[in-house]
Amino acid sequence: MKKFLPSLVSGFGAGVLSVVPIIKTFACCLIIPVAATLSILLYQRAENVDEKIETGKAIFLGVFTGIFAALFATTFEVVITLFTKQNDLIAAFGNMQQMINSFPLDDQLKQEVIDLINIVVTELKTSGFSVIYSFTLLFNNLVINSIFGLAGGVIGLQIINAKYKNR
Amino acid sequence: MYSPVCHQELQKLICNEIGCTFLCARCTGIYAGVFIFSLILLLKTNVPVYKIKYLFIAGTPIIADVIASSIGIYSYSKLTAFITGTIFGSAAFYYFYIGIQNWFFEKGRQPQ
Repeated sequence: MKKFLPSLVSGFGAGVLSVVPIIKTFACCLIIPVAATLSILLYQRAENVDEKIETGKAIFLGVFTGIFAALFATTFEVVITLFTKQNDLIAAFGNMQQMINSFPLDDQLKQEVIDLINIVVTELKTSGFSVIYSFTLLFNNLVINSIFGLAGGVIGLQIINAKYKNR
Repeated sequence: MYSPVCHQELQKLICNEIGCTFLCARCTGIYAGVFIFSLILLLKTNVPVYKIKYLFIAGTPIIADVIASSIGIYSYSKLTAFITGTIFGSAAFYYFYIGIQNWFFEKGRQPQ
């Protein structure tokens, strides 16, 4: 468990920021890579490491920061939606229908997609919870945050390791 | 759709008569920079290693543009956002590539 602790701490921080309005628009491109870099710094502190860290370790910390951030962000988002019965999907549903209709796809397929989203929106408006929405959100967050966590870990490591260049 | 990777504000999308991009001009620039630079690095066999300070230098225009357009020094320009995004995306991918290269190098050094 100890090896996951830096990722868990920074992933939690990133997860919290990922549900804050306005700030959440920077979630993937800024918050997750910064959190991944922070997890490397936390690992350095926790393990008392004062030398270059290997890229494999940074990738591990970065990916797990992304995974933890995804888990926390999804949990917070689902809980907030449960109480407020309002979220981005409900707000964007009108525009989403227009966008789907503009896709060069078969009409029947487009209608099926719209119907499915409509079911999800109705569930969210009435009960505040939808299994499809929660699963999609978790899947999206896991994939995207892991990728950006990995990238943040790899790039952040070079910033951290720069001070050991001459050793 | 794509909302986890971009705010997708309608007035910041790049549009023409066919349609609009799914991402804002800045994000489109960042991902275009990543794509272009990945193609360049794919064709290059010997990639020189530059100091990490160049990532911060490449990030300065995008930060300056965000601040300047937000506080009203000049009005938001899709072209500026796209260009500054491309510069940053290219630099970020370069350092990501160097990092992955280091990883393979480290793995190669480890005893089997």
